[in-house]
Amino acid sequence: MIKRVTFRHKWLPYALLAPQLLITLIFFIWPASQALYQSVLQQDAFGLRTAFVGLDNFAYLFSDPIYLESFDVTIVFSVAVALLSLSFALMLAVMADRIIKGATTYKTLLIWPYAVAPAIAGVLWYFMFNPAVGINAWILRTVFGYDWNHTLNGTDALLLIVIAAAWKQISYNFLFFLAGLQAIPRSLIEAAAIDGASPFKRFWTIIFPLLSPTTFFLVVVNIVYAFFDTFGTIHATTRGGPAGATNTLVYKVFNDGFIGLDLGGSAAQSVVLMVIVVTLTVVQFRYIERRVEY
Amino acid sequence: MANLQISGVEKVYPNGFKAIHGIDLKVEDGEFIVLVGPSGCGKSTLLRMIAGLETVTGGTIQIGDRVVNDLEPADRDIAMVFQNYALYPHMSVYQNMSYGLRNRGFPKAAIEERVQKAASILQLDGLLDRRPRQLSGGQRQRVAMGRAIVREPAAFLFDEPLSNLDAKLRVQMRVEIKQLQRRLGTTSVYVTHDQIEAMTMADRLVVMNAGVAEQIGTPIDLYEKPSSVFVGGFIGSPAMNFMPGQVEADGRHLTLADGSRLVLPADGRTVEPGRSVTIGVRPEHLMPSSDTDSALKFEIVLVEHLGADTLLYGLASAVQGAGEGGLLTVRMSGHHVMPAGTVIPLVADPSHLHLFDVATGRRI
Amino acid sequence: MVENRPWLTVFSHLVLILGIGVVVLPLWVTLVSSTHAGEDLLRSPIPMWFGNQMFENYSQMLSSGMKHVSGQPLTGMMLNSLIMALSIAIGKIAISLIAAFAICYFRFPFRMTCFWLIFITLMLPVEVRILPTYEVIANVFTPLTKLLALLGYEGTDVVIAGFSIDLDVSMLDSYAGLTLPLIASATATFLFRQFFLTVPDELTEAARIDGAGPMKFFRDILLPLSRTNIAALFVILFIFGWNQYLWPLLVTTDPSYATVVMGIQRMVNVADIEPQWNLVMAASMLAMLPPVAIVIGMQRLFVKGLVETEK
Repeated sequence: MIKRVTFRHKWLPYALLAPQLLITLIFFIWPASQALYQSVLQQDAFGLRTAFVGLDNFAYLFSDPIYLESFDVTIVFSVAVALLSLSFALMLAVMADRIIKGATTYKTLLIWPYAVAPAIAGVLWYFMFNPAVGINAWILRTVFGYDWNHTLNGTDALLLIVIAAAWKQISYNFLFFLAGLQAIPRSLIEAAAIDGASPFKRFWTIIFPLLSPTTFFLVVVNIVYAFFDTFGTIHATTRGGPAGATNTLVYKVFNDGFIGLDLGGSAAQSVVLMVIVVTLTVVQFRYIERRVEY
Repeated sequence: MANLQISGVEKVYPNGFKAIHGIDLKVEDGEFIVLVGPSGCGKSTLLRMIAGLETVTGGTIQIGDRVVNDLEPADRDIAMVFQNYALYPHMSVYQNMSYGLRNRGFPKAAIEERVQKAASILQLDGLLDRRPRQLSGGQRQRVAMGRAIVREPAAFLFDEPLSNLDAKLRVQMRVEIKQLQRRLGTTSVYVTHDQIEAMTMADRLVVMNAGVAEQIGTPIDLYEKPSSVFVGGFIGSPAMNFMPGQVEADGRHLTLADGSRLVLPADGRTVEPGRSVTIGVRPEHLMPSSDTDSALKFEIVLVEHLGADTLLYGLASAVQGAGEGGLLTVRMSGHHVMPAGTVIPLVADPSHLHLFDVATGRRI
Repeated sequence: MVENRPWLTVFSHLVLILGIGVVVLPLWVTLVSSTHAGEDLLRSPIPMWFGNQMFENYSQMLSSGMKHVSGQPLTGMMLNSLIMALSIAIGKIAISLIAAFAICYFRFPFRMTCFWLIFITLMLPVEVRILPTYEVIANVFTPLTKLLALLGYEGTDVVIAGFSIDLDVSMLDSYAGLTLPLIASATATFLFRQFFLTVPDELTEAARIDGAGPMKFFRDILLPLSRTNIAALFVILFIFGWNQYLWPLLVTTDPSYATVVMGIQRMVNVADIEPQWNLVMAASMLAMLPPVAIVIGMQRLFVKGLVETEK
């Protein structure tokens, strides 16, 4: 927590912490406490009076079918993003771990999507699936006879943002999986080979179980990513539609607050999101603590 | 150049642990003092208190004629050589050595002169532009020395500076440091847990144990007249042998647990007859005897041939009481061939018997 | 590999090449499409090889932008993005460094309180406090005036020693508003703290004996030692700053403060007509270029930064 050797100074440490604390207090703690405060208030139709309503905003929220649908959408979206991105990245990492020649080139070609903004990632896939001119939509139509249309079909729209969001996360997952694989002692795998386990069997009985700490960590990171970092992907493409099919919680909190100007409702949604982040962070830290003990 | 006076110095940590129990020590100008003891004895703590890296919770520390208790380390006019050298990894050798002078606002020319001088003393001339990681262990050690030398401080403080070197280099650096200190005549306090290092380098030694200075004296003083069982056992290698004994009625002999007898030194000391004592005798002061009746029975277990000496390890029932024998070490000069299992009678050189009180462990 | 099975190696390469094909496809389509004239992209299937309008598309986007959507040239937007990314990266690194230094190297009352205050920001991403943070940006002194109101003082002016201080300062449409709220980072502070804890104590002691006070030690010893960590973090934070979307969307209404990542959605979400895909793709290429170049050019630092910020 602290160095054994420390300096003594009356005010210097406070001065050094001041910038960070000031920004934290003004832009983090204050807004968060405001969200908490406003979540128990309700404004009348003209914004003239506010009244304390207790947990009414929350009660309303969880009885609102649109909000509940948004919850469902977010969960389906997050799980799909995590599953798709993790399995694809794991497959590539396992292959990259096997080969010696060209490993660096493959790595370079796989990590760059990390640098692409979620919104841009959305736009790229939005274009490729564009029903009129998109190359993917064209292939689906001519080869599989499927008429892709994410502007009208909710499933198509959800699939679109799942693909765009998962694509961007492949780099991250790939790097961590590869690092995890390379941390597995060679001797264990050699011992398994001598014991007669085939490469396929080795993967499922030795490598995958040993990789589980990395996998668990990545699952949490991917879910946090899908929850909170995909606003741009959605806003730049489907805008929550069609008919709420891609209306995730974060998109909805933005939409209700800024477009709908529902202060109390938006604040209550913010609080729900905070609870989710806190839970995920705690889970992640529990995990890190455990990893330290290994 | 200055002397160093430590009076009743104590260290109590905030958690209540008392690391130093009041130590008095006067270091003369130019003297080389070694603090030695097992790990956790407080020797490093005492050194760090002199350096100003630990606060002093009782007593005073005086460097020259100033009490330095509350001075910052930088203001104490000391230089320190650390165990892992603590060289700044991103600075060149020259920058490492000159950093302290630059911070004190020395003019460039003076810095240059001092660093060059130190570098030539330490044979670092060609290495001044190197980074620490490009140096060997011995060279790093020299740079750490150089950093201390350029400051021309009142005192050098060494915190186990040789413990990271391999055995051969350690012996070489030991000699270098000692020569350098003689040449510069700078008062030095040196901490080590290695008693050979301590014996070979010190003008005077401070043997520390559990926060107390057990004995202060020259290496030979300590070797010949250890003030306690602890000092006797700590100084000297292989270690001193200890066995229980009882002073006979005539006051001139000792009876051991196995019934054998040793002659007490005839140095005028009187020990009250019948008193139980702990007898200390160094391995080189035990020798085979022809008198098989009263001699100590020693059964050889292992023989080590060092060339100049032969070390015999064996069991003697005198050491741990009748029946089950304890381990005893005998050093014989020259080369001797003795198979394991041989039983030989031993006598001790009466003039080198050390008697200690059984309860307190102090010398009688 | 453990055993010699050539077909397995071939298979591995095959899977990797296919995987990379999937990963790189969007980039290829974007690049190719950005070199065609607008009408080439109006009928399916669109060309999969380069056209000859590359120079025209890019120069139009850089110099004048897209006519029917506010017509901002991308040069300005990219400059805004650069300013935002640099300010966030440098700002975060600077304040995190000194905060971590204070937390690690000093004992002082409320040290742990400060630590937890910083820690808590981990749990408050911008997405969960959108509205109230916007209010603060609209008037930075909102917290202060509201607190004053609680104490019974109404109004947005404070008179101190005869000077009237206006407590109504808006950061909307300003670089400060774009960057300040994103500058506090628990992650960076923790990273530096973690690193400082590995710096040997003896170095600090040697510096103290060499007469260096805390700030001198920080500048002469700690900062140079942190170089690699700073560089690795810079790569990550630059990408983070460049790719910001929600925040610029909220605090900028003046198009001259628009960043390129957030500006592109205006070109895509055009009412009733098909977007000019060739130009959108040129803009996307330009928006991707700086962060992607940094990731590829500084691959080692990037990987280090990514791994260490997750500890």
